[in-house]
Amino acid sequence: MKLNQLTLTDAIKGLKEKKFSLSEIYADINKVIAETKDLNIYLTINDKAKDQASKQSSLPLAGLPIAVKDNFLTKGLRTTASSKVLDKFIPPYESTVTQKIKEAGGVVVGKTNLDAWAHGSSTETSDYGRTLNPRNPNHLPGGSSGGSAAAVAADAALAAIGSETAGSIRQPAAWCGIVGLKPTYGRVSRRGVIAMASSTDSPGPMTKTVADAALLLNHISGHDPYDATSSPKNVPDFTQALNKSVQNLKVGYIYHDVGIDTNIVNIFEKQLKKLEEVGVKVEKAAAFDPHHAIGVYTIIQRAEVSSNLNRYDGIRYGHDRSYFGDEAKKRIMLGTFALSKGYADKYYLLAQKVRTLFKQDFKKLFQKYDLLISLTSPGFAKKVGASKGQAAFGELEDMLLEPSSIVGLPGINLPVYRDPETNLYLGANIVANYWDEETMIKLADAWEKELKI
Amino acid sequence: MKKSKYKLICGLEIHVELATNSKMFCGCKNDPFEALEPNCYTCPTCLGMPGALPVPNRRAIEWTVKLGLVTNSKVNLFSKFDRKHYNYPDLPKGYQISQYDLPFCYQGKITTSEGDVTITRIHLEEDTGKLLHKTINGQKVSLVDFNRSGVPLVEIVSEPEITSAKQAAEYGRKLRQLVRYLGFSQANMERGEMRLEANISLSLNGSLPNYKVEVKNINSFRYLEQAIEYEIKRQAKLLDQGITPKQETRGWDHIKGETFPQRSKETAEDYRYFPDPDIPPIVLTEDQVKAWKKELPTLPDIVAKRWQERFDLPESVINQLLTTNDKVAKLNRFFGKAQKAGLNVKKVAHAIVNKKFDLDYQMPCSKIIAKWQEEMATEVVDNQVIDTLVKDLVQTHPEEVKRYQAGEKRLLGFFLGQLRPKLPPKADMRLVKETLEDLLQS
Amino acid sequence: MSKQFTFSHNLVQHIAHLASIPVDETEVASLTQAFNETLEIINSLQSLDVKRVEATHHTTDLTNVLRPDRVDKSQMFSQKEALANAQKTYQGYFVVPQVIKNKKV
Repeated sequence: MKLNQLTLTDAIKGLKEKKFSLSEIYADINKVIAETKDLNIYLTINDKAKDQASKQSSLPLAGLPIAVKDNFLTKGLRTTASSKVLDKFIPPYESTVTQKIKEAGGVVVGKTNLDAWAHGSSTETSDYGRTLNPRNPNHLPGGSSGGSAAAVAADAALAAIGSETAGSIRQPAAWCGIVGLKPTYGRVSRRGVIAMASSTDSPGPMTKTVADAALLLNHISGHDPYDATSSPKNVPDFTQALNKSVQNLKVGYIYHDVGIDTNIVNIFEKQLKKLEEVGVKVEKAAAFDPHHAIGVYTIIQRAEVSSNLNRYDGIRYGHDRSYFGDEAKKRIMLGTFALSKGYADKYYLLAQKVRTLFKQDFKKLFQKYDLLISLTSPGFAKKVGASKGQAAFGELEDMLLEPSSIVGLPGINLPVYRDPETNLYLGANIVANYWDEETMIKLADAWEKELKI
Repeated sequence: MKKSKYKLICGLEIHVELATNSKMFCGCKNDPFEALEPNCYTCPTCLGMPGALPVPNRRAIEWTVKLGLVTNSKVNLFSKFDRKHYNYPDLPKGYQISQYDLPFCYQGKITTSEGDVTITRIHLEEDTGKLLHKTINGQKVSLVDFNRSGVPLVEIVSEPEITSAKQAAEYGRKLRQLVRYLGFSQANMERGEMRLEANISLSLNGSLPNYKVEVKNINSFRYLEQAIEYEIKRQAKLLDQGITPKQETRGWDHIKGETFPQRSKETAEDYRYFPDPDIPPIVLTEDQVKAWKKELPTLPDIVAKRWQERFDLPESVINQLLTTNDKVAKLNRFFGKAQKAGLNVKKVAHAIVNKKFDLDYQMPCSKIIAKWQEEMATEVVDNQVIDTLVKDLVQTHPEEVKRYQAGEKRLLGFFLGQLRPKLPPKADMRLVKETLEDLLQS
Repeated sequence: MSKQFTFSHNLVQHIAHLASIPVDETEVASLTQAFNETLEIINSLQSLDVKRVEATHHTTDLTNVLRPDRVDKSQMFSQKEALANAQKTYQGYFVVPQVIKNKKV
């Protein structure tokens, strides 16, 4: 096994036990980064990574290489949000998440590709070309955190950081067959993350195992005085949720009747059965139609995006607004429309009200269940080119994830099946109640160990 | 002056920069006017950098509510900040964080000698950067400085209840006195710390007309009066011809003494207001508001009345002494003690205002009284002494005395000048003058 | 039944102006079509009953998240840092081609 194939947890352990060295790890990592250039995973490589690593080796994350989505500001290291507008932008300050990673001893090995401005679910709408799925390069990695998912799947980093507004961590994690954890909104600071939809954006870990996700989540969570929406709640030790019994946990299986391909559903339900074998009570449950979440998300996301992108005028940084790509232009304009006089009540306000309907529905469900489960994506990773010409490609692909995202609930994607022919994966979406990442980590960890895929 | 057949319908929109230590949504220094160079008081938030987030300044909110309390306004216990969108180089985020439908305060009033003027609302927002226009290498450019970007700004909007230019100026002056008194702002208009905008229209029967003209660029109360008077004349002339004045924004040219058109207001701006998702709402309790109310000092109007009644101080002197509330509180204590100690408080007040006596606000009252007695308390000179001196004067300057008695009254000054060196340094010269006049009569 | 709302060429141009997005005629045409497609997705919401429902503007239950009135030097930029990413600067200022004096406030 090459050292870049290690999990974060095993690498930390191995370094402590002196089984191998940091330079050996970086040698293997750098090799695979060079070998996977065609996958277009990284937009910018941190050429100071190895030097920084040597100084961090005594800290918890031991100087290990973490890939970071290129919508997180990294001081002194180019950050573009995959848009030509920010082609030459060198941030003068550090995002809270990457600051915390650094303080914990992690090293940002590079900035990963995304759909420009995080608008999308394919990473095909990056201004710097699409990223390919390392599991099967004829297919897409999903998005918007496609680069980060691919980095982990290709073992071109030991772990990665992504962000989710409505599916952007979990969906690419599902398509690339890795773990993607979207925390409760407010658990992790958004400061320094290029804003998309401010009311739902959530940074989160994308990793090879649930254990790695729990570990990284420990380090990036916590109250930030520079983010007024970050929670003052205490951060538990999420690794304490690992290796625990899941006997008698009550799980509601939702979105089982929304028209997904029956083959996919069958595969999924077969894997669900394995959960019951370890004592989990799984029961089909009715939930508010996720199709409505598409409309809600489409409006809210575009409205907040149009507002958040109004600052890009090329005066203080970046290029002017003519540099926006087509998708960005569309979203900004549609969002502007949804907020404009005469239409705001009909569209924006309506979307915010429907959001409440989802909130109420989840509240009812969590009175009955500890966790909710559904497929993450209605199918396997789509082929390259699939997103072209579809007005709301992302929204349709993310339908199963949008409801939990728009109300701020935490969710985790766990790979539950690998197709031996295509090498593509299906993922399960496990959703917990607010602030209850521990329970979803507990279940995901147990299921992961049961499935051993 | 001929009374106009048109009634003035005027409302004022006044912005006041709050003198907090830090900016409204970030910890940058709030001191744009004194900054030694441009763009030296900025941070990710007030520069509108990607990923930057706003966190509201607690003191700015407190002061806004207190301003509402001193103007009898109602306070919204549930309030929020909204985004107001437009594109301009001095607005770094492409939106201004302001308040839309739930301002901190509403339905207050300011009392003027011509009646009460209702305050529609008082809300809190952030200031923009500053634009300078220059020609560099033959090219016309605008230079942008963001030191002022993000400074807390209170906006006070009145109902269109102002019926005269004088009343408008009085309203503005009262508001200015209040914010200065409370220590919330120096409200220095030349520094842009207080900005005036007037909405002016005319009506035949007092009902709200179907147009209004907004006048900006007014940076003194005198100009405010002039601008309103000018608009009244201009609009009346048009209305007399059956023409409805154009709904527009006009600037005030103080050199020409005219308003001039700036921008048409035919299509109203679409600011696309929505609640700022980055800022959780503000929820105040009755108890909190009560506690803030308790902290308020006695208002200037009440202090003025007291000083008039107890110390017989004239209005002009009082207005100059009513600066900030801590100084006023000190003066109030001092005047009370001074009066008890037998000092002529009216005299003392005049001396302070005329800069003849330097009052140190940090000094204990008893020390100030002692200082006054040492420096300023005048001695009453014995009439006998003056008598002798005048007799001398008549002896030494017979010609001048004759000329004075013949009618050259201004020679009195000359006589006093002759007497002065012969009198004790603290002589009450007013009394000496009176005595001299009496003696020279005979 | 009232006519279903659709995007018109004029409306799309107006929106582009509001959003300060430069678009040419061909773009306006393709955008109009794209918007009308998206409209089909959004319109499904109109059928839901939200009469007795409050809007959710924030997904947290936080209120009164404020900061004390203190100068925070740790986040402040030097003039150099503030200007570092600008395309045009002049003696400490950001530079733009001259805008009309009439501010849009």
